Amino acid sequence: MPDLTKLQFYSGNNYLKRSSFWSQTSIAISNATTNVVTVQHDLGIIPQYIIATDYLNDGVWWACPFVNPLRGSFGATDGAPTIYSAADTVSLYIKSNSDYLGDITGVSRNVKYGIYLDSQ
Amino acid sequence: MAIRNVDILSFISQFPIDKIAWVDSTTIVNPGPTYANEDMQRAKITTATKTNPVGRACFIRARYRIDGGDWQDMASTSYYAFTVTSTGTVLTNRVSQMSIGCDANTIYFRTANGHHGNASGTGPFTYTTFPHTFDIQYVLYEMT
Repeated sequence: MPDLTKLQFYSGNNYLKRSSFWSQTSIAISNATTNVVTVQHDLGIIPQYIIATDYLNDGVWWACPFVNPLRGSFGATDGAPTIYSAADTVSLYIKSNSDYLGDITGVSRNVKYGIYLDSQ
Repeated sequence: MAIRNVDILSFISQFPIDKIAWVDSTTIVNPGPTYANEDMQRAKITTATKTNPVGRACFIRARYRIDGGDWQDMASTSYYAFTVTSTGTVLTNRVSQMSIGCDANTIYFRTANGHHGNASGTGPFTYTTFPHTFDIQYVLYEMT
């Protein structure tokens, strides 16, 4: 009788399959402006995806919006811009918004992203 | 033909799939806001770190809960409203929000707790602070 405890993979699950859209981009942070980076995938589905943002330009990749003392604030202590994302059947949209305090015109942040072949 | 030796099983995927590099959890107590006056809508930020045993920056999926409640998506934020009793003004603040990130050596956590009771007085204002315990479960995935 086989020892089933050795099985590490069960094909009955639907595993997320990575597409070729797996890369890094840079998004501008501008005062009073929403900037958008569009990654066109043309998959015909609204895909699962994952992103990570280097909010403080220090090599730390954050998986979700950076927690600020004041919501959306850039100028507050430990502040960072707000970067968010959305997808449709054609593209992944990575956005930075202007809901912050202070003058931060002319900076950008690196964002790593991965788009899966599986729909949301 | 029945498989009699599962040791020889292998998996071949037409597409690359996520490889989980590390699974762990942590608990962080955020004591809540201690600010006064105009900072009544400011959240207390607590930071914490753990060693990243993977040795490389990773994508992360996570979920969190506060005080043993329901699990929430890592990007979710919960709010509440409080009243400045002297004027009757109703304002909002965050009950909870979290961030998780990593580099090659360290996993970083940030929690926000702006939860307090109604603000009394006319300045400086006073209020009762509500601490919250954040349980965070997370998974690190290979970035490439």
